[in-house]
Amino acid sequence: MPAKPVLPPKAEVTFMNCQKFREVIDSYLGDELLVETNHEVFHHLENCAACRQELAARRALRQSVRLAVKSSPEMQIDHAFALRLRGELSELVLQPAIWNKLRSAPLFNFKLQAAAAVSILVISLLGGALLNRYRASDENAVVNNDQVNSPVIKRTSEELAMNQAVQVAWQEMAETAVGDHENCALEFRLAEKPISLDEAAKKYGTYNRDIEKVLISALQNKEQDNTIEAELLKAHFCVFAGRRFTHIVLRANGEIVSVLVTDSDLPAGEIQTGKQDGNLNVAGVNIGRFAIFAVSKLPDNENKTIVATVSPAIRKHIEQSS
Amino acid sequence: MFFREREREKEWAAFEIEAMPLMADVFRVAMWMTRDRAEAEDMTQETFTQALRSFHRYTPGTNCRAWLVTILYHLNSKRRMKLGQLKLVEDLDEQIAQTIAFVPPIPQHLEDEEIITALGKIPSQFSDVVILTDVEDFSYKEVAEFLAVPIGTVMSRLHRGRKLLRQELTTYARKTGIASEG
Repeated sequence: MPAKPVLPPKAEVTFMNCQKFREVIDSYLGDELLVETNHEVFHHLENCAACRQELAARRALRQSVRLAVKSSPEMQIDHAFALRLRGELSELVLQPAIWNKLRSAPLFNFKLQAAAAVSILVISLLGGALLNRYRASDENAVVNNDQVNSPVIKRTSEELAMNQAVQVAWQEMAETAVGDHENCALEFRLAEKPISLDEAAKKYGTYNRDIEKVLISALQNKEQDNTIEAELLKAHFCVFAGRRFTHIVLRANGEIVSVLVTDSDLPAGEIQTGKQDGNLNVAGVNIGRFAIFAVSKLPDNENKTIVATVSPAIRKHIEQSS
Repeated sequence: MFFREREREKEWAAFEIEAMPLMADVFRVAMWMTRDRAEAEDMTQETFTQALRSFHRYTPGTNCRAWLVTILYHLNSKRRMKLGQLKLVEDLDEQIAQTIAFVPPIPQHLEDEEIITALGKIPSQFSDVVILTDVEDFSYKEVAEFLAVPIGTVMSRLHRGRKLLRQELTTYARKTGIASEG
């Protein structure tokens, strides 16, 4: 029978001591160590409960930091901005004059380029008569825009692209509002707990305070033609898909209705309606810096009436609060 | 002309696949960098425009996220230089390191908001490295390239950043009576 191998005492096989482990723990967590050093770490951890505990605590903190930053509403990109940027970039590529300029110019001033595009949008929306005359004179006219480092922009195609981008951004915002209604009002499945409107007033804008009272009072105003029987169920401030909403849940005409107010940088316009899967209807309007949506199973015209009734009161309340 | 157009469309298609899905990540880094949404959006916009402009120099399949963040940091250093905010921080690194006498225990049951607040209290040269490595998962080498500092500096800033974070969180936990581990 062969002799049993003699194992060295435990202290001898622990190549790394606690001090050395603490020196490399950050690199170990970041997976930055050499394979050999990793082996030493494993070996040390097998034999040292205190360092295992320290490692677990640091790993947990790292995970908490990661989750906190990644899920923070502050850190989320605004969908409307993302869509707008995508639209602008695709326009740059697809317009040869701008693309050639972009590739050859030593410094491309995108801010000014974007400002020019936005100016064109504003002109297209507000300066109807002037623009029509301009278009009539030359449909394919070019805008000489030396000041913005982009000499040639085809006005008509730029407008179309911007209008399309606005429409897509609006649709995206409406879909998010419907998602918030489904995941917050009908069944609570949000990652983050909503906060009270008083708390939101301190953090995200004073207009949040008492907004639900303004809304209910507008709906119950007997002077208007279409009085809506509305009962307030809850009101809070929540986040869905990175978008913040002032969320007022009502029972109106027998259905649960979400009235949602959210930041918007889209141009103000008429009330638009739309349909989503699951028999949900949405009506919404942009009132400057904000958009207001009503989401419910009510027919389009009733959602539209709710938006039409509450939006002037909400707009006034926001203006007075700021 | 036709071929040029096809080439552009092909390049845009590749850019859409490789770079565009990373817009939210780039924005998050920009947001941390500037702490201001409007500025972060400007930086993201400039980064993607520059990236599109130089996309023919990007090797498909390599680390597009790191490439975009490199552009972002480059733009940021130009921006800070313009604003006169660029300063040497090595001495400050050392001064702050001297003030950290021990590694405090890590408090439990912290809210996300408290962690963000604590991170915000740490000098940015440390918190930036914590964000880039622990949140965004960039390697030391990549972070060293973004910040134009040696890898050793990244390692020491990360070490100190994590230590300062623990210290901030412990101070907070003591004030609010949250139990701590260890």
